[in-house]
Amino acid sequence: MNNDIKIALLGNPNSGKTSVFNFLTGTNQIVANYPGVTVEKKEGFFNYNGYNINVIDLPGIYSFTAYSLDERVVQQYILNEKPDFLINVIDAGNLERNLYLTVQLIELGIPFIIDLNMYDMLEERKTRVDLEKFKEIFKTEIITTIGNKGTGIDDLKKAIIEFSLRKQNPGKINIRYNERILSSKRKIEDFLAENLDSGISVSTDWLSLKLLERDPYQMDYIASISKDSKKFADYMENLHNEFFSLYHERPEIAVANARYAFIAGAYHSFASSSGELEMTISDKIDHVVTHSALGVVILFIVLFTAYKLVFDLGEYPSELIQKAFNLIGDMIPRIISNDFLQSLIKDGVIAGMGGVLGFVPIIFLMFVFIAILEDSGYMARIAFLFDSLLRKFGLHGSSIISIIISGGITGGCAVPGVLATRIMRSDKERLATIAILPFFSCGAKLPVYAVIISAFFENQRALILIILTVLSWIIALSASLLIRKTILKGPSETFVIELPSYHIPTFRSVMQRTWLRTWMYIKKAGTIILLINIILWFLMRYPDLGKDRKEYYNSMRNNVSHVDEIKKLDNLEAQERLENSIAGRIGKFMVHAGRYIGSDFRMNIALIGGLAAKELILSTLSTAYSLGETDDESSIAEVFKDPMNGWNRLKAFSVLIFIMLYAPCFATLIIILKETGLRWMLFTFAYTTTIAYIISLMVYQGGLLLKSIF
Amino acid sequence: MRPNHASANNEFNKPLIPLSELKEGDLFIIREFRGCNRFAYRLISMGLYAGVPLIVMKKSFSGRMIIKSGVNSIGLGCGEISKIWVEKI
Ligand SMILES: Nc1nc2c(ncn2[C@@H]2O[C@H](COP(=O)(O)OP(=O)(O)O)[C@@H](O)[C@H]2O)c(=O)[nH]1
Repeated sequence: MNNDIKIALLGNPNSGKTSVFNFLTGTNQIVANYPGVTVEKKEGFFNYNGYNINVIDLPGIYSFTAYSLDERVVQQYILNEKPDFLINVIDAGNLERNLYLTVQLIELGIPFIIDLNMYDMLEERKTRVDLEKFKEIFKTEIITTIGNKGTGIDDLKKAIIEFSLRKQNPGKINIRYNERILSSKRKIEDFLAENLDSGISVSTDWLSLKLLERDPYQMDYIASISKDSKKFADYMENLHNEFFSLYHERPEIAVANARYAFIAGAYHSFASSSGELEMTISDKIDHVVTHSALGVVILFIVLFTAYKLVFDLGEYPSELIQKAFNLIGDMIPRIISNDFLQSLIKDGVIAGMGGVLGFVPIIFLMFVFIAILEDSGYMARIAFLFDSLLRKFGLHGSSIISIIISGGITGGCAVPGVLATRIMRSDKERLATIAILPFFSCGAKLPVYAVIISAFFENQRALILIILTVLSWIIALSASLLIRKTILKGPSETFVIELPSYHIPTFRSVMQRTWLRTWMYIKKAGTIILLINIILWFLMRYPDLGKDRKEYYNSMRNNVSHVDEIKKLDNLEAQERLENSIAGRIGKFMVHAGRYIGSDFRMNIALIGGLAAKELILSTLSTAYSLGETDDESSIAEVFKDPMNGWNRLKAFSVLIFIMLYAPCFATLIIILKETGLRWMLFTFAYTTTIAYIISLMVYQGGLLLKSIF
Repeated sequence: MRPNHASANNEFNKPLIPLSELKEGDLFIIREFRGCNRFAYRLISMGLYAGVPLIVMKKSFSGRMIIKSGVNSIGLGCGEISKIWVEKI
């Protein structure tokens, strides 16, 4: 006996599918992507009465016609992977709309169970449902559940086993399309019978309907197996035009209307509702939170509070993790005596792991915050509120969340910011959003700003910070506009968004989402960031100083006795080693390019160090100025102030802008690589640095020009 | 140019106006979708099909709207609302 059952959950967005999936599978979940696309594929397992059930949580869709990426993914999955049957999760409080998808499952002829979820909402929405009648009309099993509480999940599990034992084929249900649709369908079927090269794997009845709806996936499929694909395309074009000129209605709209006519008939025979357009609590909240002015203020308060909480609460455990890794690192010399291995493990591996894991508390909290926004229904309002503004720059309303997380106000982190773009459906808008996130001031850039500001702009601290923030927004939005008008050209996604009723998020659902996403970050980022860190460590350390130089420092150390003097020598040796390393040589090599923006070779080396993590700019700079490995802000500020080192306000401001805008750190680049691919990562690296250079060049050279005039 | 209307029913001879002309609180029925068919299809699959009574819940300065049918609240961008032709009820 085969005890394996393969099922998939299918339903509208916000029908409670994920909640049902979480209760069915608990922690036995794997998240991956569907092949070649960024749509998340969630798979889970559970055992029940000796059966092993594999469940896929398909992306939420409104229709089975493959117009959008999600719809295409769902159609592909169901047609190619052939699950044993589907669980159609339906929001009981919004039956008519949800049944639109159900009707399309009937058309497809795939067996399914209906999970009438949000059963608790029926009462609130003054709807009564006669379940027996409902079952009779849809000729299948119907289970009622309350997804956020887990009520009815056991019944659903039982029903899954029973349904699989019965191997139930869907009962024949007549959707009753009108004669216009039926005659066009017949024409398509006749055409297919004569013009295909090979047999088709789906029923012609269903296929002809999809072709009538101009389903792109099926149109492509048939074109690929047609004897003459051009003839097929022309035939379909003529058929659609003929339909429209005869009936003044597009065939896909006619089919959709026929489905709703069927639903309306069915609905009235098994359900009744007050049918009034009432002002619900959600509507009242919406009135305030979607207000053009008040809504924005509320949003900023919410985002700012959440972001403060994320970074304030996350900072401490983050530091703790970093400290723990530093401690482990400090123990290494006691265990390993070999110089090379010691440095590799301490500065490369352990510091790298500290870097990856140090982010985890902040990323975890950020995901908690996003899950709360998603679960409560507020996320959709945010997108609605910001869409018209951000759309002017080729972005999407929900880009605002990633921007704020990445430091749009100040002090965020682009790593979780990039991950937060996952909620965006349009690839072009998502890529554009990702590309501009490095321009914002992440938390690691702030200490660098602080040093430069305290050295040169002590009395204009606030003004400089405001200028930097405004500048980052102007440059980010202009860059996005440019990208969307050139390499990511194309119309903005039409903005139509469902505003689901507000829900109080449940702890379980928030934690489950958060944990899965955090774990994905650890797995994805961990390995590669670690590797890059080791490479960077190598670049900043090798080639090592020659034997004679080492001996020179050793003999010098033997000649002095004071601890301070020994330390001074250590620092000098470190400085020389850094200058001699590959990174140091690159820094010197770039001295000409750097000169035009006011940078010197030491700052160049620090900027290379900053690629590993922006906080390394300070410690690399201090090594380059032979201060030892410190990020003590006041001593580095002193170095800047020292006229011997050749810094001035103009140079400092220009470099400040460069630091704000140039390539993101490797952690961000790796996340971009993982989320979008190599090309976009390289592009982001190159164009942010180019823009940084151009702007700094304009500032520095402009400043010099003004100086020479006045 | 070929008309590209995705109309539901043209036998009604009442005046049609773009949704953008309605005010908050106005009740209406969608009669036609003009412009991209995909857009029309998406709205329909979200429950906004022709003939369903709707209400304008919110209209912002920039022209965005929230419309509602039954329990379905849908937010529309300003570009979209001028493509929906409706009949006031
Ligand atoms: N009242 C109520 N809320 C539910 C029910 N099922 C899920 N929810 C909530 O509805 C929201 C959307 O649920 P989710 O599972 O994310 O929906 P999905 O978009 O279909 O995956 C969340 O806030 C859930 O906590 C239910 O049966 N009753």
